[in-house]
Amino acid sequence: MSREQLHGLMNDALKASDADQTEIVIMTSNSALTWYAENIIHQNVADHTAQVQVRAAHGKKVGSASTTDCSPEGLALVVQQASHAARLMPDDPGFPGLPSPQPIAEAGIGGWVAATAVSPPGERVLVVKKVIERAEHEGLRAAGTYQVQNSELAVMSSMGVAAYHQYTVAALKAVVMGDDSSGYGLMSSADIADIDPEATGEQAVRTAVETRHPTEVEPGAFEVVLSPFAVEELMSNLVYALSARSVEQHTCFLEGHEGEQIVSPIVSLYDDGLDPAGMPVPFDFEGMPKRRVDFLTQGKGGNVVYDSYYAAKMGRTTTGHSLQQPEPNEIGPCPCPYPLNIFMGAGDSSEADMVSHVERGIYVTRFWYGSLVDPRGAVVTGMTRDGTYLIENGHKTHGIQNLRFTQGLVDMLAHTVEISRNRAVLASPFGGVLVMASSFGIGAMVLPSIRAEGFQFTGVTR
Amino acid sequence: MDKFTERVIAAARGLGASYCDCRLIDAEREDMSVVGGAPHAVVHAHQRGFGVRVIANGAWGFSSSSVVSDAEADHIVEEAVTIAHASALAKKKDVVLAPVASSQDMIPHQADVDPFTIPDSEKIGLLAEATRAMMLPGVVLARGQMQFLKERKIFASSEGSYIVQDRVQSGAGISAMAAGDKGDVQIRSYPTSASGDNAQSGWEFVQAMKLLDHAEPTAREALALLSAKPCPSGVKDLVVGGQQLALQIHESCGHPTELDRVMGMEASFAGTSFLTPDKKGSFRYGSDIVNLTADPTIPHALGGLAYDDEGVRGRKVYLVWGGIFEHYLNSRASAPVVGEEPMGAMRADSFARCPIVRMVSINLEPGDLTFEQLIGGVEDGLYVDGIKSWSIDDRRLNFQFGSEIGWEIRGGKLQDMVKNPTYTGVTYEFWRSCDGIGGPELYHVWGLDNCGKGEPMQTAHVSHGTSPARFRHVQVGVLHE
Repeated sequence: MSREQLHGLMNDALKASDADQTEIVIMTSNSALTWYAENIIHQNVADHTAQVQVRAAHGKKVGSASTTDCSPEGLALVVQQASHAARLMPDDPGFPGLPSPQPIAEAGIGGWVAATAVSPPGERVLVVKKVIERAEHEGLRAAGTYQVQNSELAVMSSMGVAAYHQYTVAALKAVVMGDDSSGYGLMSSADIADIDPEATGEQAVRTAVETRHPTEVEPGAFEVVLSPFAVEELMSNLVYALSARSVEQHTCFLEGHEGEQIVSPIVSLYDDGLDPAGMPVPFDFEGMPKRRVDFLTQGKGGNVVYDSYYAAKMGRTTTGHSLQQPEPNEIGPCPCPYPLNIFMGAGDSSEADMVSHVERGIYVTRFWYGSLVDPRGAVVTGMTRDGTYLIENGHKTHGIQNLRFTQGLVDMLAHTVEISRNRAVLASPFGGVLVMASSFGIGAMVLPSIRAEGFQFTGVTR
Repeated sequence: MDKFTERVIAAARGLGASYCDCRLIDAEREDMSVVGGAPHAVVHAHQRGFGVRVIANGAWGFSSSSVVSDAEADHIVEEAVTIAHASALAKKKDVVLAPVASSQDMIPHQADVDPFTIPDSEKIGLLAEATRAMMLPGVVLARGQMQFLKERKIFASSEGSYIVQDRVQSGAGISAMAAGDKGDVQIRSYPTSASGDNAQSGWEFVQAMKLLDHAEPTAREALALLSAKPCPSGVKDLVVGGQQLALQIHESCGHPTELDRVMGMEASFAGTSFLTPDKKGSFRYGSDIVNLTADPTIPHALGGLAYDDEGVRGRKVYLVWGGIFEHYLNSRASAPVVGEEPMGAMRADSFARCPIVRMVSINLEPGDLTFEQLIGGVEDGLYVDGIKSWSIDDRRLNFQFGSEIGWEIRGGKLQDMVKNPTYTGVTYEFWRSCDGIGGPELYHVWGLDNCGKGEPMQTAHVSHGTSPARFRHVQVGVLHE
């Protein structure tokens, strides 16, 4: 649609609401995905979907409703349903009312590229073919996805909030497999012109070739060099703790440690929805402006993210991190508020430098299936995949069988000794979260490679 | 056939598609949660739209829309066919579908009491009372939730099938989180974790859970875990409770028997499978008492279905029989590759997604032991239950699971409670060590509504029938420091 069309529809629907306060969030998505495996395209899909979420309040009674029907009649109905749901609810004493509008820094934030928005299916196939042909040349099998998304996020409320953001995402992923090895490549950007299939394919192919005939290494504590993809899986398990709700539930490792040195002084971790180096989103699902939140600054404990509900509950101001994700929902509990634009501060090294500094250790291309074992110290277990190397005397010498890790992430950040200056942009759905019925990717992580000591591997696969 | 799907099929034929199916779905969903006696969220969701899948020039194309109109139907069909022609640019051979009989059918839902006729105030009231009962001193978070789905799905294909399926689902669960000194946090859930238990049933399913009766005991267990001893570490015999075993089956049997994974179609996301076609009919997956079924015909099971999203009638197959790996979950395109017949496992989670191979109800057939006999056969071991954490490698071999609660077993008797129990192993070694399975009186079909797979990710509703079972010589208590 467009800003004018969406806001016009929303404005009309708001006028028809009989609730004390009403908020409408609409996400539209024109998304296409080419999914390939075994060197063929096995699914090639498109969807044109709108998702409408309405929150209505009668005093302290709050109800929600959602629909995929974005017509004037559909919006009128869903507003009425939310209002009706609210009337049936008991008071929510913690509800502070819908937030009042605040200035949003939209100018120059970017994030939408016309060429990405109009990419035709034939072009996607040609990009994928380049990856496939590179893999076939080495006798390998390529699998992956090429996704192109053109989305809008609009928020409007009876309090005067009126926000709109349009963004595009192009993301090419390649997993290249041999008989006993595999490699990984991923590139994502708002601009389809940034997607380089040759480089993505080459990265995956090179890793698959180099890690052929893996040997088994006994689990134990190792010095590790982790690629940005590996760091991303770990951070995905850490960010759940960086929310006001986690503080409330006493599952946040930052709780009570503000200003204290809790990890290595070279580690900084923050959320910044306005930084164009990531996938910027200037406001949250309440239409509140994004503010940078520093979780760790040079290793010292900082703040967590808030939405208006938790800000009121905990005596803070909203940082613009509401997801308004209905919960419970099919994708599991979401710790609203939630950081969507995670950055780890850049270091001054390179991945090659890091490897050269390791006498005996392990290089991890990717971690997989991380799962929180113990919130204290954010202990996570998971597996390596798609390219795990033994490092000996400063060189990646050969591939090894995938290993299971069980590692406290706070402890890992405390033992991080080197960080790369280059960072990868890992766009949702790979690096962010899926919101609103899991259809709309938004946000990204911008992460470096890191070198850490004493990383705990606790098992090996067959 | 109705006019809309008839138009879709005719348009696809007109554009040269050799196959077309259309799913027109209208779904209503209600989710609610209560925290500490206060309502946290009540969400009513409505989804309506259609998805069109075509084969043209020997390749697949798919498109979908949430706008259901004749003009949009024409646009979506045209886009699906265009995409199929684009896919054909990279094809190695034409898509071939296993033949299936066309069906005209109308499948009613299985609910006695439509949950959408129960007032929200009654549902919220029940959750509020249950969560208030859990708010004992030391409990920092008492949560309850319910979720309901009512769906009408119309499937029409160019092969003449026209199937209308109605579905009603209900689910609920409560959990208590207790916090102790030094950041220790413990959770207990009832009847199981995540969204609780779910089934193709109505309000009667929630009533039968008796949430109020279980609220305080659940909270007391969370509190007791704070002072429980840590899980011992070592190789021990392990009795796995039914809830936890549902997860074990899901991760180590359900996913690796999905034929699309086996054929590499999921390699870029969730991975592949160790159960390669050469193992079919000969690989010893488990001990000879291990019989695992894929059965979409179990009444009320969340993973049950009459027809899948390819119009294939669901039927029971043995994935593992007498410990030997026998069959896959499959689709019309993948089944012929390994010499199988389609068995009804292709599903999409909405009109906007293309069907992929999904679990139905994957079940461990019950054995003949009582719970006392299972425990009585252990000299030095552990009993664990309640899903807490899960991780498994990309070929579904090396796993590590954490449970909410455990008890030491010594001399054939349950002894002290232990906190943070974990166990790890390799799938086939673990199942080969199974030497006892609880009887039918301990059997329950658990409904899980959060199985993620595919790109873009789809969330499937599946189920797992389990009784507790015993495994020998398992690594428990994985240490991390």
